[in-house]
Amino acid sequence: MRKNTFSLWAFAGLALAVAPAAPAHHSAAMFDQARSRELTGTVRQFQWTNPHCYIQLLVRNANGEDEEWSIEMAAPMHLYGQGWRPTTVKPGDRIKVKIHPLRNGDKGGEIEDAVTLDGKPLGRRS
Amino acid sequence: MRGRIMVLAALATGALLPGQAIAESCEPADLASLRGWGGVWIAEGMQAPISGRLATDSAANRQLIRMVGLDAPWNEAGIARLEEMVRITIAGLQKQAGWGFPMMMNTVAPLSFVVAPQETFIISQYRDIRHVYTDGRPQPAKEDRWPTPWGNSIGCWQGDTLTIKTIDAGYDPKFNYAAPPVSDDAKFVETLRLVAPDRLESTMTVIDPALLTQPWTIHISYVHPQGVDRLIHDGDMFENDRSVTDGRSPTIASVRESERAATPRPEVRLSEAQIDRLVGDYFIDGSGIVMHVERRGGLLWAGTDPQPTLPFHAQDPLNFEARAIDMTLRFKTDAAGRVTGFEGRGPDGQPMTGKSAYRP
Repeated sequence: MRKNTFSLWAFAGLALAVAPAAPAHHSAAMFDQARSRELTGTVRQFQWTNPHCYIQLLVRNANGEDEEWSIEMAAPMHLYGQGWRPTTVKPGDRIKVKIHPLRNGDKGGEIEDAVTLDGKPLGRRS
Repeated sequence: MRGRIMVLAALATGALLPGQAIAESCEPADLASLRGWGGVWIAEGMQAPISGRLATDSAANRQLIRMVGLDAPWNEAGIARLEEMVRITIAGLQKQAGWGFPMMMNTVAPLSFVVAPQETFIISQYRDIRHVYTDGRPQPAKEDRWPTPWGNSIGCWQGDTLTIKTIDAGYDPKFNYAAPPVSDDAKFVETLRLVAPDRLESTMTVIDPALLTQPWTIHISYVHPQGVDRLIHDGDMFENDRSVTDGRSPTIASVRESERAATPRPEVRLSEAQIDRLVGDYFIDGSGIVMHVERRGGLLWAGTDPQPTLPFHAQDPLNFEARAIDMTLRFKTDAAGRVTGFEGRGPDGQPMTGKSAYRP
């Protein structure tokens, strides 16, 4: 009985907090998997690096100031399988991303999706 | 034939002892008939999206989570180990050095099977490697073994079926925080077979009397991942590891440290004559060491024997910085404009001064 109860709890915890922790070299605990946020901005840099790729995205705030967001992605080995390449996004590109934001409120998050301003998917689907 | 059946039966029940040979009737791998094992494979449904994480409500994620043993038949001691593993995982502060075995066989990281007549390698894109001799040899002697994330494996080809027996692959949260927390004495028996041109099927049975009430069996199917034509480098976690803690919780470092360090200050181009006036030897105060300054092309180079000579970039005709070792030199001159010495910052960050060895 204890096993079954524990298994259910653990499954939920892993699924929500970290479990597919897999490729990431660290868990997903830092990201709020229950929330999504959309950002539109200008790519400052695309870091095609292990253990994670990052899009450094300049997003204009309500005061008209650019704020830099760090958008965490999978490692190159996974992005490659989804049709991404080191040149898929370039500095100056205007894109829209959907992220699970950082829990601590820092300007960053885990990517869910990335598209051009007119909604065209980036990567293999483009 | 009877011998083969007995060997397979022994494998299935985990009856083989670590020192025993896996089989007396192992056949050399028939490479011609096993060509279909080539290429890149991945556990079915496990190909990761651009986030690198499977959807939490997906069947693949449940399969991934299942692999850590949430529905394994743990005994009380095993449940305690499982609780500890989950606690570590959810804390979110652990990092992963690799998948390790057995997780590497059922993850988002693609695999390749490299089959040679007497040995087979299973390579995970996450840099885990299993080296499986299939020539009928036994496991290494006890004094030659110790627990590792990959364990020790021996295997046996019987026609198109590969059977692998693995030991010494216990749970090590320092290597992978999310893995079945079996004991170091756990035994794993896998059978793998190509059932279709694009489909490999595997059955893994885990025998761990210390922590499991009965053998635990997992079925895994492998397919070719879309868009992946080769294994791609997955570097170590230090190349651009931006996951840090803010003192309370994990977060993303705001900027890449290496990017900050790699931003050089603008450089001033000097004439050869401007550099030549600085060339010579300098006594470093308080050290008894001589620094040698020379010109190579349009750059000033400086070094001390036996330390290497490194380039210094001009900020102005008398101010230089080394980009390789974060060191600065500011040459001093007398009223006649002759160089008399230098002051600056050494590679250890401490102030350093020196006098020209030139005495007119």
